[in-house]
Amino acid sequence: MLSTAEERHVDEQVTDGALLSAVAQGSSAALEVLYRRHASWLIVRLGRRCADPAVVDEVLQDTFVAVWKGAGKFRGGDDAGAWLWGIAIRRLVDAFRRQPPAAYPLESAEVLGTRESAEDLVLLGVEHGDLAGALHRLSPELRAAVQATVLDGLTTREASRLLGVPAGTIKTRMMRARRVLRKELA
Amino acid sequence: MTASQWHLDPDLVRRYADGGLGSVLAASVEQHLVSCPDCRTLLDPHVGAARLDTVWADVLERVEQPPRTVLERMLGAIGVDDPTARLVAATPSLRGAWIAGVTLVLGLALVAAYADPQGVGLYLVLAPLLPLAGVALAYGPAADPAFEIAAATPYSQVRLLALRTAFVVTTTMLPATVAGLLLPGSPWIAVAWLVPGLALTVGTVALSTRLAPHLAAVALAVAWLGVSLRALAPRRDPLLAVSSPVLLASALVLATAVAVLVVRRRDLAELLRRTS
Repeated sequence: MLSTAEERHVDEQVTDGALLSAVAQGSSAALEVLYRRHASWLIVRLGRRCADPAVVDEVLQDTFVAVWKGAGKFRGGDDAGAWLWGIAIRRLVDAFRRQPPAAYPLESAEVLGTRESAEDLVLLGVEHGDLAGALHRLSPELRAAVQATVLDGLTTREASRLLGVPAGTIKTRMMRARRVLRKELA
Repeated sequence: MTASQWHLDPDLVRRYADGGLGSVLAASVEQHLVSCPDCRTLLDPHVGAARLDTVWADVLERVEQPPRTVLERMLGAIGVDDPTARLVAATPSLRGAWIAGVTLVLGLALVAAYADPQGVGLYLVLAPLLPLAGVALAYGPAADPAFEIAAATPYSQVRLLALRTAFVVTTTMLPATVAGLLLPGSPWIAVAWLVPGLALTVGTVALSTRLAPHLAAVALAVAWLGVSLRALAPRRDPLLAVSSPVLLASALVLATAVAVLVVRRRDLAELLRRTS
């Protein structure tokens, strides 16, 4: 009988890729290890795109059921973070198609008002150069469109479902966002 | 400092989890999390363990369910909920062997009808017995391996019987009607047996309040053979198997059976609860 700490240690030795191979063979224990490893950050990240916790929980559930069925399709090596997020965000889009959300949680004035600390901005500068400042000057609507299509990697149609606006609007917003960013970064 | 050495600090994680982080910085955090297993664990304290356990329990329930059969998916498509679909799909007379048997009987009746005009009479005598046999096999300890489970389930047994009967009647009457349309002679033949067929089926369910379902079915089948073969025999016209007196008698049986069921629906529920 292993203690909890030892169990965790054993779990940490196993890569996501190995766990997913076991899941593909029908191991629900491997699915649970994967779930315990990834559920928290997926819940938080989904929660930033959907204000209703009940919907987030349902999407998380759908995500791991989809992982159970599609584990054999994983071709990503050791870490499954990006792959899992790709499934989760599409499940969220599906949930929004079944039941459109009241409103996509754009940033409130309060959050917009709090500026990142100087240190945060320096860190961002290291990662992204001038991009951070430029993104900051986009309107919340334009930024949400950039986030959905560029950072979450959704198609225009998927982004339109996620944000609850027509696909044409996403295209226009992306065009405007690109124009602003190009000018700012030139 | 390179990008790979950039990691989240607890304060940044807290603000991200609380939703208090601006979207640009949050996007940076998210891009980092996707590829950094160590920083992902920093989020664990920000999500309730009870919430994670609840969602996991739901996931486990769904992945451990046996996959749904074609029939269950079809029932789901027409709006039947999952547990009901599973109970209906467990009906013995909806399994492959039964459906193959129905097809065989109908095929033989067709061959007989084309070989000899009297064969049409054979079809008219046999067709009403198909849904009858289906219903007799649809319920009860003798027929149903899931019977104990069904009887112990907190689910209206009468509703289950009604659902199964409806599905059995549909799956036998539809092919039998199609076969009837292929018979030589009047298309009337294809529908002429529907009234006796329904009368026998509903009669079996009604009699089941007194007798075991298979006994009720046998009794009614014998009665039907007696009536229809007698009507058929003397004048050698196959349609006499469903002549007006036969139809009238069938309609009477049907009406009586429905009335009995309405009056005795409590007894029926009681009967179905008993496991012997």
